[in-house]
Amino acid sequence: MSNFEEVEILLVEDNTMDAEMTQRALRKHNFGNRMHWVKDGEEALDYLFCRGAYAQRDARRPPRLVLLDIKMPKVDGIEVLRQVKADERTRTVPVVVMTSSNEERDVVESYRLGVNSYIVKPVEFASFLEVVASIGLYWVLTNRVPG
Amino acid sequence: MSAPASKSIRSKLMGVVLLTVLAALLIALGAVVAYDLRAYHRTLVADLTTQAELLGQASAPALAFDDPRAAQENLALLKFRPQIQSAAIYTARGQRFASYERRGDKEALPRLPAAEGARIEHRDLLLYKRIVKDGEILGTVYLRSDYELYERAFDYLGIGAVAIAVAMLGAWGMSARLQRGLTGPLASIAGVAQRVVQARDYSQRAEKLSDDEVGTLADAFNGMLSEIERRTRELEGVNAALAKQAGRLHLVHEVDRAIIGEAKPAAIAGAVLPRLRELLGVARVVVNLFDHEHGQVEWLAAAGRHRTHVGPGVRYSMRMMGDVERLRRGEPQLIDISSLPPGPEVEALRSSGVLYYMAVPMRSGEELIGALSFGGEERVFPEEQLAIAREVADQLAIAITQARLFERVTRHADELESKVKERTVQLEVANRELEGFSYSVSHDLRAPLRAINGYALMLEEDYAATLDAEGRRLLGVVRASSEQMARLIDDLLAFSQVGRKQISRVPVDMAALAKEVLSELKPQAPAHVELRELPPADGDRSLLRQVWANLVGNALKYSSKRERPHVEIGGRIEERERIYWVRDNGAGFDMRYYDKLFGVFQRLHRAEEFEGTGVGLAIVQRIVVRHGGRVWAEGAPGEGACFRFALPMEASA
Amino acid sequence: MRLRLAAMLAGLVLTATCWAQATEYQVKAAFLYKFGGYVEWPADALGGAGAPFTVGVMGAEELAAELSQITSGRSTSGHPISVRSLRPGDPLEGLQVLFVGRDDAAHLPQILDALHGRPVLVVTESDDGLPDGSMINFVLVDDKVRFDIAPASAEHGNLRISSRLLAVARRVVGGQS
Repeated sequence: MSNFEEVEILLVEDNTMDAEMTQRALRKHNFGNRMHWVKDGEEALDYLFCRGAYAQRDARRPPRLVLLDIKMPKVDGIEVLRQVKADERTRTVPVVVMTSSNEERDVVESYRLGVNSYIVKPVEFASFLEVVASIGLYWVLTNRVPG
Repeated sequence: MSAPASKSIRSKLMGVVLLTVLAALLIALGAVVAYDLRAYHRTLVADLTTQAELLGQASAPALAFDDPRAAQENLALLKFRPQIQSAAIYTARGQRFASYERRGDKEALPRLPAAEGARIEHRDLLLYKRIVKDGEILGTVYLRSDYELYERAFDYLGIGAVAIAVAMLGAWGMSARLQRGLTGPLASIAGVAQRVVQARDYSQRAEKLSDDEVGTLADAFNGMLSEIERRTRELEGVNAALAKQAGRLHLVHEVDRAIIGEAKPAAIAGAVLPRLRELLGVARVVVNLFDHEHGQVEWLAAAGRHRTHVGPGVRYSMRMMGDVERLRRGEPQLIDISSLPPGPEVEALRSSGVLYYMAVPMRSGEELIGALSFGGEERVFPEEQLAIAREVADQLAIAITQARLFERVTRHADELESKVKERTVQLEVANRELEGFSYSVSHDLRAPLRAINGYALMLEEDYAATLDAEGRRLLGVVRASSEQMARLIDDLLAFSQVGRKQISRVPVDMAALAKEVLSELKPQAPAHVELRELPPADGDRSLLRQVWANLVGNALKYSSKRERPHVEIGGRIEERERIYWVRDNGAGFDMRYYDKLFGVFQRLHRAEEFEGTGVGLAIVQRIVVRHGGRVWAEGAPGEGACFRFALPMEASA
Repeated sequence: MRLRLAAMLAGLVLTATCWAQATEYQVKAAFLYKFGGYVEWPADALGGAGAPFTVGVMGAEELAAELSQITSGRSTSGHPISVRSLRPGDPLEGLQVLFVGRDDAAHLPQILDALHGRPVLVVTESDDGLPDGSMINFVLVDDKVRFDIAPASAEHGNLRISSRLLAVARRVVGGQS
């Protein structure tokens, strides 16, 4: 529990309502404090690689978990995933892909690029909260970044 | 003399005669010599014995009274017997009493007398004879005589050799004469036979030189030759006829092959015509195609003495083919070019040596498609020639018709193919659009739903206190409806995915699959499930799993309200397919609504009774059909239902 | 020594002389008996079968002894041979052969008279034998016993002497008849 100060979750979600619901769910499970929300893929990449608005951020401290929506304008989730898994600095960061459908091509592509987990956002909000919470907890608690 | 056969017989005959003579002479000579030598030996021995006896008798007193002189005198008388070389008389005690040598060679006399009898020593005959008087042995006479057996034998050999030589010479001379009479005629026959074989001239005849067996042989040989000559002539006739027949058959066969090979009519005609011209023995053969519309005739192919023309380009009036109506009825037309109106075509015919020609119709069913024309300087066309032409014309007509049909079919097929390509492109576009549509449905439609549901929940959680019971009920309806809509969307997407998904075919253990599905579904249902043996199948494992999940899920669902819910899962192997079924004793259905059973969003039960979207069976049917199989069901309200599906043995989808 | 050697040599000479003497008798004895085979007697002179063929010996005891010895058990022409030793004046009946030795040669004419033409072969060994009327007379030629024959005398006694015997005689005296 003492590590909670260092926990940082990057939520990549263009849908404000989904983002709000996700944040609410994470907060409910005490992961809300260290969470950062970006609204599209481009911003997510800026954050992760400390560019643009995030240029002053310490690149040596990547987030502990990335919750990534697939369908986004401009740079989509698949592209973000690709860049994260291709870069030495971010490759070890766990990425959980969230999508509103289990469209096969998304699933296959995500796994090909090295996604750590994959969830279909349920419409039923209660169960969605459960999923988000359990995923976040699992990855944050069990997977530690080396070094 | 030059014929090797006669030479051989000659030498064989000569050999036989000479050998026979030689053998006879040798045997006779041998017998005579043997007899003579034996007689000589016996006579000599007897003669010497007598001589010895006489000497003994004469010398007995000399011995008795010890008077060697008298004995010596007796022996001296032997000088009148020149063949006696030496002689001696021995006393009874073995002492030499008297002796005689023709050549004065004392050493040759034996010191002691040997046993009585005759023996041969170094070409001499030795004889000892006892002298007996009044039963008392007084002494022994010894005689040594020339023994001329070998000399006699050599003499005989010499005489025999001369006799044999003379006899052989005589035999040779006689048989040579004989042979001239015997082998001469044979050699003459052999010579004729050789000339016949070499020149194949069966008109040759052997000369009859004698009236003996050889003469008969010559007669028989001549008879045989004339028979062969006759048969050869017959055979040649038959061969010629056969060759003609073979040529005809070959031509027809050629046309048949061309038909099967779907060659172009011009190619067929071009290949056949030169041969046909040869077979018919005419100057020119032409295949003419009729253009009834323009009243014209066009060459398909033509063969002359020097060249063959293949392809269109030569056209002329149909009048050149005679009475077209008669041709249409199948009657060949004989045309005399002098009866035709003068023109360049007629001149061309004349210059190529055609004064008369025959036009044989080529008909395909009722249609007159052309004519095979052939001719030369002769006005007469034999029946056989016409028959060949008719046969080939018929075959060509068939070939041309076939080729035309083939062309038409090919054209149609090409059109069809391009149409299919067009449609395929359209379909692919539509498919892509559909895919995009379902993708956006799955994302875009669900996001607001999620929001509706989520925000209703938030409202419920955060403002529950400010809402009365009715407000909370209404919020609940909002949430339930949004959830129902989400399920409908999910099922609809799943259904459309089944249609688009690529089906893989691998061996699938259906028993394991059903067990797997059961273990996931069973905990939620009270039914007793009986899982029977299931034969393995070939197909897409995940899709077949979906089939089992939907059917078993339905069975568990609809039987759940029974007192003793029972579900049976089974399968069997048929001749060409494997059949699987899921039977339950649940709510069942009315067969009147069977048509709606497998439709999308079609439900036979109210949602209040059994929840569901009405897509499950539609998905089952789609998957099974995509595997090349079929689905069917039977049931009755309140009595349960049985759903069956069959998968083909071999991958045929 | 010398004496003894001379005695031995003398003994040898003596025996040799005796032997030679004995041989002469032996040969003559053998001849006497063999003559029988070459002389033909008249048929009645020999008697029947089995009748003895008697050789009489006069004036030659040793010869008689010798002859007896060599002819004992022998026969000539089927007649057993017997030897009779005679003295002058003895009867001469039954004899086929009569040998008159040298010692009694003087008695020969009387003996011949006594025989008086009987078929007896008279053999002598004296020089006057044949002229006196003997038929065969032994002579010594080069120490060998030979004999002369007088066929006429033999014929006188009705005897025929075989020409084969004549052939081996030293001399044949007188004509054939």
